[in-house]
Amino acid sequence: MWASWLCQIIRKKAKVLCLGSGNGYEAVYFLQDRWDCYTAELYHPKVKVLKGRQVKTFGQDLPFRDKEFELFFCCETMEHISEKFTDQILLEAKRVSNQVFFTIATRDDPPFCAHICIHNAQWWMDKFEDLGFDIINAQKKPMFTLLMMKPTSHAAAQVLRFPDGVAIHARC
Amino acid sequence: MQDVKVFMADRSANTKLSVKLKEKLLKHNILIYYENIHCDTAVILKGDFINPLAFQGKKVLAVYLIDGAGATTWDTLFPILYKPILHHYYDEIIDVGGYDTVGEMADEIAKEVKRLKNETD
Repeated sequence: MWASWLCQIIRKKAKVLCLGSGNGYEAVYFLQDRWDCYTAELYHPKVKVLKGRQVKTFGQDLPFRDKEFELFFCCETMEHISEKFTDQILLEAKRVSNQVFFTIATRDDPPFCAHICIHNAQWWMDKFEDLGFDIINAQKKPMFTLLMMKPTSHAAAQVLRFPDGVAIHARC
Repeated sequence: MQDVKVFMADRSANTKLSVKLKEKLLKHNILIYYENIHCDTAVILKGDFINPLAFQGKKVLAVYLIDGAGATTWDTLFPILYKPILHHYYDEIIDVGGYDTVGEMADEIAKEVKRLKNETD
């Protein structure tokens, strides 16, 4: 979903790295929109279109050149990683890309309890600024408007608000 | 004859619609599973957070919804956002939506399950 939005605002066919891509939905979306997308993830789903584009690596030590990517994309991953690695990962993101887009949950996720690095939106925004990122856009409880065309009637707009989390788009 | 099983995400299992659908499918001798079990063909009823990659064999997504206005599930968030890429994760997508009653929908799902059972590779 964030990928489809970013595809509208960042130049086409850019090179993208998705950290913590999971099942690869966003990466597949980028590829379908003809971006040159790669994933950095410990889990490699068997999806044909991702073949050859999946790199098994930890975020704090990325095997890529400086500024190799136009965009570093990381959606709902940072809250699952111990805080002791946060700075390293963000600095690696800054090293390998020209701009970053993160969405980070800011609250716990019962009953799974998989969120181990929980901070409020301001903490994350301060973190990015302290590490030298130039924040373009940051939203607490981000929301976006979806326009839907129903088959039998007029278009409908739906505003979707995420109950938790922060979205940060920044230059490196 | 293919071993075909029908799955639903357990997060979706307790909605009124899901409970009704389960009852109607039982009349066709079709059980709904909530955890990954090996089969030749997995028919996944559209639901929240079900991971298509967890299933072995052929993966079929049955997209359904009946709401008060009779709209199909292609109008809701999940398909709108993921529809363009679903074919990368599923071998086949069946649109079971557009029916006025859960019974009709269950009949359609049962018909598709029967077709899939008789398919040969």
